[in-house]
Amino acid sequence: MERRAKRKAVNHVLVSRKTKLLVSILIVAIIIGLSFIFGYIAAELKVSPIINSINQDQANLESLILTASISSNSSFSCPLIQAGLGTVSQELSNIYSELSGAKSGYPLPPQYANIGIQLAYLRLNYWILSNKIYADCGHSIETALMFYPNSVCIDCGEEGQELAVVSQESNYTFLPTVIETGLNINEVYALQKVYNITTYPTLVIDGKYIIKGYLTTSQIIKDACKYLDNMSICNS
Amino acid sequence: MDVFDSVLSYVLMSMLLLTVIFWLIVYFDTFESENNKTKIKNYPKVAVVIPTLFEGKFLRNSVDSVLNSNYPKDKYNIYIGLNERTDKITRKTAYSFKNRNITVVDTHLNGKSRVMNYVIKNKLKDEKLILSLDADSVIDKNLINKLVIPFFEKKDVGIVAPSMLIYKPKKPLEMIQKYEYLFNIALRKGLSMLSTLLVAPGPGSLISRSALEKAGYYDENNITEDMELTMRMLINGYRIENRLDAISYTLPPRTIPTLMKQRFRWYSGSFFNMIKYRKQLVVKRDDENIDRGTISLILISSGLSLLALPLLGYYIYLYLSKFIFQLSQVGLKFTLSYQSFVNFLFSFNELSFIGIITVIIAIYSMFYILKNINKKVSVVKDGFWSMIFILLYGYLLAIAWTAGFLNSLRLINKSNGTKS
Repeated sequence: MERRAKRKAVNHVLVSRKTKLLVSILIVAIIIGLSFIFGYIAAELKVSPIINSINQDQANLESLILTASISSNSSFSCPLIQAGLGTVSQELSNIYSELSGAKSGYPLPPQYANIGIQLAYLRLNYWILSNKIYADCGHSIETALMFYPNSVCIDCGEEGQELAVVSQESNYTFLPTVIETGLNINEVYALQKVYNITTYPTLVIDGKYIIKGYLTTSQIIKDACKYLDNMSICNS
Repeated sequence: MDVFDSVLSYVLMSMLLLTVIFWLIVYFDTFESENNKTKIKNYPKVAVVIPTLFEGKFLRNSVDSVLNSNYPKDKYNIYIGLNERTDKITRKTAYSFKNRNITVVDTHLNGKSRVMNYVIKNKLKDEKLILSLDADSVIDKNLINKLVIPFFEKKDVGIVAPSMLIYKPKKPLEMIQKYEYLFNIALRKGLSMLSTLLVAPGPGSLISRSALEKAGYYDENNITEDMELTMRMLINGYRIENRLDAISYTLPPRTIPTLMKQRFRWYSGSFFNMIKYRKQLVVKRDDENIDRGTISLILISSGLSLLALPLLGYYIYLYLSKFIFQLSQVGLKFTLSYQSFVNFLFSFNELSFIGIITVIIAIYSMFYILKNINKKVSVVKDGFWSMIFILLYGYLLAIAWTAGFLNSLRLINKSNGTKS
């Protein structure tokens, strides 16, 4: 009888312990469920400011394209357009920071696929304009195109930052663009084929010089200065 | 983040959240469950055994705390055990007491366990319970009254552990240890409620004399004899209980080297005893005084925790080297730029939400424990020292933990060598 009473007490404790564990698991499941819902809502809320930034940048770029098409090779318009390109470059970096941060969640609303493509086209247009200015303004600027994959590439993230730093230090005479591959954009496929892009990151300077693999800031400056030595950072 | 990183992050965060919530639920039960209604008519006789070494004049504080307790004066005797290495000041202090119920026993033996066993086997009278008290510890005046209660409420109680606190902490290292001891009180109580309390601390634990005799007294070759005795009591079918309101105070290590030395001994002993009794602790038994499932988890997590320090070191190295390299390339201004801020802001996602909830529940849990044990909470002071304890102190202990494990392997080897 005593043994039975003991067993009963033990069973009561065990049940109570199991109950605690089950209740804990239930609470965790509810919190995780709510987190995913919240995460999805937060991702949706982030879409609007990113799209606004892209639209704003697109408008700025179109304005620069218009200016360039009217008078791109004058001594007055070249510095103006270069400055404008520098501003757009910074804005593109900001958009990229916003988008890469926003894409860290799971699951993502379907709008993100379109945002990626919109941004890629914006960047392509930027690169095309900067190449035009490179040609029309007597090579007073230098362009760089970096390819990176749409999977994890830690070197690419760092390379992007370093390109942004070189651009700032060059007073925006060095204008980098980063292009995400694997987005189902024909123009990007074409560029990959033209430059034979097989590894990431790969840098294409002035549309001609291809450098594969990760480069530190000083290496970027050194290589860029080989091809254009009248950048201010080449003389320092 | 790639798929593997994502899944790992979600799994780890969920496990952390589960641990925090489970323990909070246990603590809700813990602090409500202590029974204060049991009235004792016939207090059992208690032998207060105080082994000594180099405690000096603090021995007087220990003995005085017992003499000032509310336990009936005719129901306890104090036995001060002198080690062969006990210093002159401690000896002089021991012999200075004139009370009739204080006996000084010069054992001429070395080792705390030997001294305790000698006193218990040869000098005790008809006491049924033994209060083990270190000479650098003091007890609250109600400690003995509280500790005897479980012996009346439940059967087969072998040891009742007190809540141990730091004696008058002042310096930063003592303050951090104060919070460590506070959280350990809650953990100890929670573990005792889950029938997995593996250590009843030496200073202030009340032991059944008959259970001690049946279990075979203290192991004289063990460096953490209190933990070893607790495990042996459990294996012999006795319950290990805990009273939150029975408070003892101990002098903490005051410097980092002495702290590390103490913890190194504790953790060496912990691993040694866990390895020594691992099979007996998880085997199926009739009395169910041990929760095998939770014990198994404790043993497994103790093993896994050894990975924590090298992993932590690896990730700190990885992060720091990347950060330093990035800093060298793009500079501090860029690293702390608007883009970094924007990236951080836009990175807020479901994992961030789970992390925030976990932190909120953990902080609530922390203050709940402090309020229930300390009875009052200072948000600023308690919050500050708790954060220091959580964020910094753990890494220090992790070094002693890892070193303790390695030393325990050496002790096991030595012990196996001695047997053969």
